[in-house]
Formats: sequence, structure tokens, C-alpha cells
Amino acid sequence: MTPDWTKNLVEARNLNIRFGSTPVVDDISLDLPKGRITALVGESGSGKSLVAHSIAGILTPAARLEADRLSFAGVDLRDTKSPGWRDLRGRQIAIIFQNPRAALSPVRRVGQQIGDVIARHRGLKGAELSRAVVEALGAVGIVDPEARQNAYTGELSGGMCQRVMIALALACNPRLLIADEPTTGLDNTTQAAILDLVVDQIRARDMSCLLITHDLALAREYADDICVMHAGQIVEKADSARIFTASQHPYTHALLKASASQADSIASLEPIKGSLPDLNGPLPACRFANRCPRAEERCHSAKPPVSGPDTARVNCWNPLP
Amino acid sequence: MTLLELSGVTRSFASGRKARVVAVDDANFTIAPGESVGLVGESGSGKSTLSRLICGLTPPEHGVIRLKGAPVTAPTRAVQMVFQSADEALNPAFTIARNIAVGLGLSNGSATKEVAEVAAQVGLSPELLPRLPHQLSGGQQARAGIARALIAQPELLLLDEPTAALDVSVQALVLKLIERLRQETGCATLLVSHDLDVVRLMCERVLVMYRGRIVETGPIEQIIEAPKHPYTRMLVASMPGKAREERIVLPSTAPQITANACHFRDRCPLATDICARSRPQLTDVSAGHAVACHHAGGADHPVSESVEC
Ligand SMILES: Nc1ncnc2c1ncn2[C@@H]1O[C@H](COP(=O)(O)OP(=O)(O)OP(=O)(O)O)[C@@H](O)[C@H]1O
Ligand SMILES: Nc1ncnc2c1ncn2[C@@H]1O[C@H](COP(=O)(O)OP(=O)(O)OP(=O)(O)O)[C@@H](O)[C@H]1O
Ligand SMILES: [Mg+2]
Ligand SMILES: [Mg+2]
Repeated sequence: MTPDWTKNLVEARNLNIRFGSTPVVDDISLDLPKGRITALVGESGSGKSLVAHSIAGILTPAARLEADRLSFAGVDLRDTKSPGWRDLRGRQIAIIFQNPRAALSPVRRVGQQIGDVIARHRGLKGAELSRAVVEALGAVGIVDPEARQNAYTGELSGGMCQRVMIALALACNPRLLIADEPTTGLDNTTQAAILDLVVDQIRARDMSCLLITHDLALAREYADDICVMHAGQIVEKADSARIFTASQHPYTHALLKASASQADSIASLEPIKGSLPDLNGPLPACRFANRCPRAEERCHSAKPPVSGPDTARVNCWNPLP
Repeated sequence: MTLLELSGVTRSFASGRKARVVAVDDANFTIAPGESVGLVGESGSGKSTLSRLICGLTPPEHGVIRLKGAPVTAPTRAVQMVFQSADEALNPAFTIARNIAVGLGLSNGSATKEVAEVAAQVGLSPELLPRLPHQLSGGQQARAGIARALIAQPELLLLDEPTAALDVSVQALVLKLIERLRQETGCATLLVSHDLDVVRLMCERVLVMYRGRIVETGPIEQIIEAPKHPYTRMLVASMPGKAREERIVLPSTAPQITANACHFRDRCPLATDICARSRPQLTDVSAGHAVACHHAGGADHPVSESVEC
């Protein structure tokens, strides 16, 4: 099947991921529209990386994925043998991780690593290729790219390595960039500088982006839409501003109350009650039910209904008004 | 009355074959009993080194650190540190109970009563005490690290990025715990963080560090509302939701640090000749608010309007 670029870039319907008998990701449906930045937020262990990995086709073989639909520009991503798959995966979807040094080779000069990707995807050679490498490094704000292309990752700071990884991810001009906590561990000034840059590149190239973070303030600043996950379930998806002004799911509300960036004082900061449920044990239908102040009988027994338009969708029996 | 006083405290390390990096350069400040102070600055600015100096874990090359008037030359019970990472704080081969007892200088399990008390105080349930550190969650490890420091009943608690590795919800728990303990015990805190939102919630006053130098200090509201030093302005601007135009310019070249110059001049939009010739000293701009910048004195230059350097 050939890609159809008029469609949503990614469409996932009833996606489930299990490890053995443990249902880690539970029946999630998610669209990534063209030209938008979608943030995926939630506590550690909520399944954000697994969702990202299943879209990028790098899910660990230990995981079992089932979905009614998982497509990229209309091409089925589950069918890894289909002719279009390899090209899509390698060329149209790029992923950047938290730890750039793990994604880059320590023994090849950074310019060579970027050159490899450009040569493969754009067929450039010789002087044209060298020029493209220098351009790619310059585009991510590396000063003096002529000289820096000869560096090894060990000679660069964490922030600089992060930029090289971004240049590498963008080198093949992908349509989708998945950024999995790309700035965790960097200090806040470097974090802002790097995210500013990633977002500028995404906008300039009219790409789509899935931005994974557990920092709601970052999601608000950089994403168009925010999708909130709890214990492997999507609980709410809305445009960024609405999440902050009119969140409907009690979990989103609790997450906001627990965020330092949203609190006026230490007294008003409220940790979320309880912890993520043990996914090996018996689970309530809504996995937030045992922590939820608004939970009712049916939250334990029946899957919460999905309500609201695309711009404010919530999966809850008893949403906030 | 002052609890802690630093005068001219300097510490450098060898870096490469010939060069030395001055991790803390001429630090002068005081902390009052019970005060909550934040220490902010980008990675590598010297925050952990300054904490280790105050704790007596690293000796200064120059200058003196005084605790209630007496020079600090070795670790004392009155000053305790909660380390940046749990691996640094907890011995992986010791049970949690034994790790906590280390805070009293004991590691043979004779302080069971004190350990149980302090564990209850930080909210660690008794069944966790016989476990090894890797059998605890990140939040529980953070609590154990705090308990280890608290058992010594310090007058000054140094917290080096106590929540950087924690998730939003656990971070909220640990921050509230620290605040509660501060009120219960009345001990002063120096909280190292590069998250200004955390410092805003936890501290009355803040010290801003840049490449080893304290470049600005003042009440937290003033620092966030009206930062004076161009570096502090960039730091504040990089909080989510702030204007992008004032954000940090990442260093493009190796820093050029010379003794008689401002360390920030190669990244500073306000820099002029004088910045390369003379080192700015901390100078009061209002009560309790001091800044080390040749151009922050009176005029309130917006950083974005100034000339490029
Ligand atoms: N290889 C694996 N085997 C078994 N369970 C796994 C495996 N990988 C992940 N899990 C489980 O799946 C759940 C979701 O993990 P995931 O890494 O997607 O979370 P996350 O939301 O990305 O968290 P974080 O914010 O910490 O990165 C967790 O409970 C985790 O323990
Ligand atoms: N034991 C040491 N030997 C050599 N250099 C050191 C040592 N400790 C610190 N340094 C150097 O001193 C400077 C300050 O380091 P320090 O760890 O105090 O920074 P920091 O502000 O705590 O950074 P971070 O936010 O990354 O924790 C850095 O350049 C560091 O490389
Ligand atoms: Mg993850
Ligand atoms: Mg440090």
C-alpha cells in the first residue's frame, strides 16, 4: 500500500501491549494529525515510551502488540513485511531519546554519522554531501559546524550531543519526530534552548511531533494538544490550553495539583493520592478508580465511556463539569 | 545572628594536564538559623562543590567557612547533606536501617530506636527498613536519604537536587516532606536545584551561581519578578511560559575565564570593554538584594534591546 499523505499521520485504534499476561497498555486510541505537536504526559511507568516504541517499530520483542488499527499515512505499521514499511520506518519516522550518548556512536566523528544518514536517504556524495552535513549541524544551532563535524561525542557536552542527535534525526527529513523525554537530565536553561530549537525545526518543516514528557508546563509551552496517560490508559486528550483551564478527568486535575510549576505555594501543592496500580494484580476497569475522589461503583466494573469532541475528549464515567 | 558564614571561599580542581577549573570562586554569604535558601545555576556552575565545602567534605583552598563562629574543617553533625543521587547517598550493600544509622556515625545497627523514629518522621514504613536500597522505589530511596541526614539532628540541611530524579507526584511528596521537617525541626536548609519553580515554592532567598561565582542573591520574589543580572534574567526566561526572546544563549566556544574579567561576558548581551578588564563584585541594589554586574547597577536595561556582542 502506498502512503496517503492526506490522512492523519498516525492512527492507533484499541492498541494493547502485554508482557506475558500483564496488560501494560490497555486499549488506547490515538491520532497524530499532520503538522501538530502532540504531548503525551503521565507519571513514570504509565506506558508513554511503549506507545512511542510501537509507533516507531522498535518495541521490544518481549512485548505483544495487538491493535484494531495502527497505521502511518494509511500504511499498516503492524505488517513489517509490507514493501512500504521499511522506507516509512527508516525515512519518515525519527525518534530521539533521553540519552543522546547511547544513540550515537562514540567511535565515529559526528559529521560522519550524519553523513551516513544523508547519503542513504538523499543519495548525496562528495562535496554536496559535506555541504549538507555542515548545514544539518548548523540548523540545530551548533556554532562552527565546519570544525565541530570532526568531533567525537566524548568531546561534546550533554547539550551539544543532544543537538547532534536532533540533527541526525532530522537529516532524513522525516514527517514524524518522536521525542521521548529529550531534555530530562539537562539543566533548565539548556532544556529550554533545545526544545525551542526542536519546535522551530518542526514548524519550519511542517512536521508532526509526539513529545513525551512528565512535565505539564513543558507540554503546555510546546505542544498543540496534550494527551494524558495513566497506568496504560489514555484518560484525556485536549488542546493544550484547555487541559490547564478546563481539564475534565480527575487524574489530569490531580496531575496539575501535583506540579510545582502550577502551584502558588508549597501548601497548595498536592501529591496524587496512592500510586500506580500493580499491573499484575486485578485491575479496576478505570485504572484510576482506586485513587480517584470521584470514583463510583461502575468505574470499577465497566470501561469508562469516551465523550466530547476531538478538542476535548475524556474517558470517564464522572468527569469534572 | 548567623548560623553559617562563608568568606572568600575558593576551591579549584585540576582539569586536564595544565588547566585548573575554579569550581567555587570567592564565595561570600551567610545563612541565618532556620532560613531556607536556594542555590541555582546551570550544570557545572559549582553548586555541588559549594555544598560539599559547607559540609566539610572538601576543604577550601582559600577562605573560611564558619558555623556559629567556629571554622568548619571536617564534617560535623550539625551540617548534614542529602546527596544528588541515591547511589551516592545510600550504600547498596547496607540495609535501609543501617544506611540511616550511618548518619549518626554508626553502622552496626545499635541505634534501632532512633532509626525507627526518624523513619516514621519521613514516612518510611517499618517493613522497608530491613530491605536493600535497590528494593525501594525512587521516592522511598529519597526518603531514606533524607532520614539519614535528619537522624543527626542537623542545624543546617543541605539538599542537592533532592527531587531531580523523581516523577511529578513523588516530587510533590518529597518537597512537602522537606517543608514539614523544616518547620518541625527549625533547621535551616540550602536547597540546590536548577528548577526555579521548586526554589520558588521552597525558599525565602536564593543564590544564583555562574561558573563558580555568586552573581546575584536576593529574596526569591524579587529574583523572579525583577532579576538584575543578565544571567539570572536568562535563567528566569527559561522557565516554561516565559518570553523566548530573553532565553539563554548556549555557549558556543570554550569559556574564556580570566581572573580580572566577568565570567559571563562571552554570553552576555550587555557586555562592554569594562567587563573584560574588571571583575564585578556583589553590590547591593536594595535591601538583601545584591548583584555582581557592571551594567545592572541602576538602569533597568531589558536584555532583548541591547546590542549583540
Ligand atoms: N521489557 C519489559 N518487560 C516487562 N515490563 C515492562 C518492560 N518494559 C516496560 N515495562 C513496563 O511497562 C510499563 C510502562 O513502561 P514505559 O517505559 O512505557 O513507561 P513510561 O511512561 O515511559 O515511564 P517513564 O516516564 O519512567 O519513562 C511499566 O510498568 C514498565 O514496568
Ligand atoms: N572532584 C573533582 N575533580 C575535578 N573536577 C571537579 C570535581 N568536582 C567538580 N569538578 C568540576 O567543578 C565544576 C563544578 O562542578 P559541580 O559538580 O560543583 O557543579 P554543579 O553545579 O553541581 O553541576 P550539576 O548541576 O551538573 O550537578 C565542574 O566543572 C566540574 O567538572
Ligand atoms: Mg519512558
Ligand atoms: Mg551537582
